[in-house]
Amino acid sequence: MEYILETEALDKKYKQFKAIDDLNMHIPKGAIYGLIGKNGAGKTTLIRLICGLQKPTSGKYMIYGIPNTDKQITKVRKRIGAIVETPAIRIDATAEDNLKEQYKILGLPSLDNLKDILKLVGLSETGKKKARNFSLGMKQRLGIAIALVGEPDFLILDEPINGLDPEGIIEIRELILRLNKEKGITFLISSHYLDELSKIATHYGFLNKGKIIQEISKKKLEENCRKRIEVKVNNMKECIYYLEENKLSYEIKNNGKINIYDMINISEFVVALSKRNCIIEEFNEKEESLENYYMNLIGGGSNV
Amino acid sequence: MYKLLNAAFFRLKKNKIFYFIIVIMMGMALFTLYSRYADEIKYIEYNLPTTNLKSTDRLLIDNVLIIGFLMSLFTSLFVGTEYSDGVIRNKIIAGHKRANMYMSNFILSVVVGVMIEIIYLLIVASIGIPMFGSIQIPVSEFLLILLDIFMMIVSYAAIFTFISLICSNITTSTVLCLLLTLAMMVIAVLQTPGDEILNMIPAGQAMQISWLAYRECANISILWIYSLGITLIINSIGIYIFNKKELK
Repeated sequence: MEYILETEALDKKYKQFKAIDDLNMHIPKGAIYGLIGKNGAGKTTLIRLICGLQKPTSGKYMIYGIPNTDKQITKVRKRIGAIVETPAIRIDATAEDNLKEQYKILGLPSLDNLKDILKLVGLSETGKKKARNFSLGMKQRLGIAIALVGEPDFLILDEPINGLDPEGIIEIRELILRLNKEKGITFLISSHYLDELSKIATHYGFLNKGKIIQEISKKKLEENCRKRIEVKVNNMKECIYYLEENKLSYEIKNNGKINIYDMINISEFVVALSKRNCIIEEFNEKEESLENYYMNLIGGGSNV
Repeated sequence: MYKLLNAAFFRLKKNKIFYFIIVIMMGMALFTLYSRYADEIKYIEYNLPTTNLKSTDRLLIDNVLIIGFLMSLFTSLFVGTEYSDGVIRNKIIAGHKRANMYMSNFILSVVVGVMIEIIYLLIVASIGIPMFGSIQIPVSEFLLILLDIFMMIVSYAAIFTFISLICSNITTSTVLCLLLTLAMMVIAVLQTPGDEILNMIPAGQAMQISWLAYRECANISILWIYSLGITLIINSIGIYIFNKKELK
């Protein structure tokens, strides 16, 4: 698999505090990678390292396969667009002037697609209105527009929906999906709004105390979280025969339990197993939200 | 570097502080000329010899004490906005080297300082020379004084760029720049002519240049060298620290 970003045993220490601790991460090309972690988990620190705002204490990261220790890393960063914490915009300038300055920073000779970018983020009608008078959602979209100058193929958005109203959240969500689909841009999005992230992410990285505790694809996560019946029986062989005969979807877990994913008639199931001398010792109906899944991963806690 | 300067000048064209300090410098030039004219009227009224009045060359250097304050205000606010708006992050992500970012801000500050000085000189010279006569000191000496003034501007730019880029908070850096300018001025006022410290701080140099009309100042041939030294040392330290700085 081709990765846009990889990290290997990345560490970042502030005096005695380890903000990033032996972090390993892999962002596949074309993914919308949701970086999930509670406040203080290290999301913004990680993004600052990737963007070159700070240097790792040890370990390394690679962007498009180029390690951060390579001099070429500054050139590779030109293919990245990012919003770190708050959108980096000139509040005393118009949306167009903000973009023009970014064109000059990047040394782009032509302003040809400036209007297209403004249209793409829905800011083409703002005219001479200064950014200070924009709503939070508009400022966020302007930040994304600036990040889009230079046609990056990797966008990093740090808490892009923080403080937005429902309408603003929908606008940002639709924009991210459109950019991913139409322009093939890979996204790294950090957030602690799990429900919102679950609507767009294709891959997840769960961050806790500076460590990635799990990386998982959306498909796999949905499998793990989907509604199921978890049973523990005294005769697993007979139980599996029954499930096979009835063509039911199931999975044997490491803890000796079986997850059954298809709908079953519980009475019939119990009677049928009983006839096969198979006694049900534990029976639980389970369905996990992304939030529960994360909480289970980090072993409880709050503030997610 | 060119890209950064291009972006900085694009921003400068729409910067209110830039136009504010230009207006202040123009006002200062016109006020200097008016004061000289008013003095002349009084001297004539009281039948006093007008030869004791300020010559045009003195008028041309009358602004040296104010330059530091205007540059501290401009540089701290203009450069400080890089942090407050977060645009400094865009430049790093765009792949610019920190040393280039530092130097582009320094160059911009120098250009603005030189620009306001030239505006002052042009106004005073274009009105002052026809009204109050030509420069009385030898041209070579006057050019040396101008070199000292421009190099003093360069050293001021180095000091204020250093503070504005090392201190991430725009309010703190603005207050620091203004207080430092004031402190340097107070230190300079407290010195007696010939003290070495007058050469080593831009405000001290400004003070010596402003004394030129009243007394001999043997230092005019070396002040620019001190400015060059100040600039090289501060820029080197500044780039070193800025390279190591953890940005947010």
